[in-house]
Amino acid sequence: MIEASCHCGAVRIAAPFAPEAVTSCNCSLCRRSGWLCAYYNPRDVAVHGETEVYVWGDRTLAIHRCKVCGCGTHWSAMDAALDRMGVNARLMAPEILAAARVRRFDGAESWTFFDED
Amino acid sequence: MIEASCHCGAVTIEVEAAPETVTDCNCSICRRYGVLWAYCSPKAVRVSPGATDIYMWDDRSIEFHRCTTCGCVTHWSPVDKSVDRMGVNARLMAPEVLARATIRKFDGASM
Repeated sequence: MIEASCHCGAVRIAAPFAPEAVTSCNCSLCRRSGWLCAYYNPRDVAVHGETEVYVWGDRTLAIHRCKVCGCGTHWSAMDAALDRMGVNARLMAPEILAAARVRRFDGAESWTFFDED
Repeated sequence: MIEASCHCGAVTIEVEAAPETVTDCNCSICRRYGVLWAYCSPKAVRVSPGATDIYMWDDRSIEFHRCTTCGCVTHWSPVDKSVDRMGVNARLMAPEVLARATIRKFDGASM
């Protein structure tokens, strides 16, 4: 079990395993928020603590941040039937993040990973 | 003049010049925020009156600002307004502006 926590500790996330890869996306939101995203099945992840939510565009994703310190914590699908969520791996221990491969995703244009070219 | 704006556009920041360098710090807050700081004098920066939420911690000498709506971390400013230094999150600048800056890694974790 891997834990991710925001800076103030109000939001804690328990994920089932360390990410092998994390995604750095260049879309209009991700390039600003600087997330490194690890993907999981929501059934395997426990989120504790109060968050604020930002929803935009086609309103398919809820982007969560800690209400106190503002750290981006995770995103969840608005359609609860979807079996995918993202956890901001920047909130994991530095050694966990350092062991993950960073994959750059072209969310701004082609919607493919740059390492798939 | 260089403009930085949060995702929803509620907060915009104008700085006098594009940053030559930006700082990637590994301290407990910066590593989580994922920010790249461009440092400047507050006199050379204009922050729009859009609403921000503030987080302070430790010695409470710095205010970390984020957009109230979209949550993007926009800047930090000193609580003591006589301090002539602030940081703007260069991730909110145009991608081509950020791409021209040299990223300096700062070991804030070991301070």
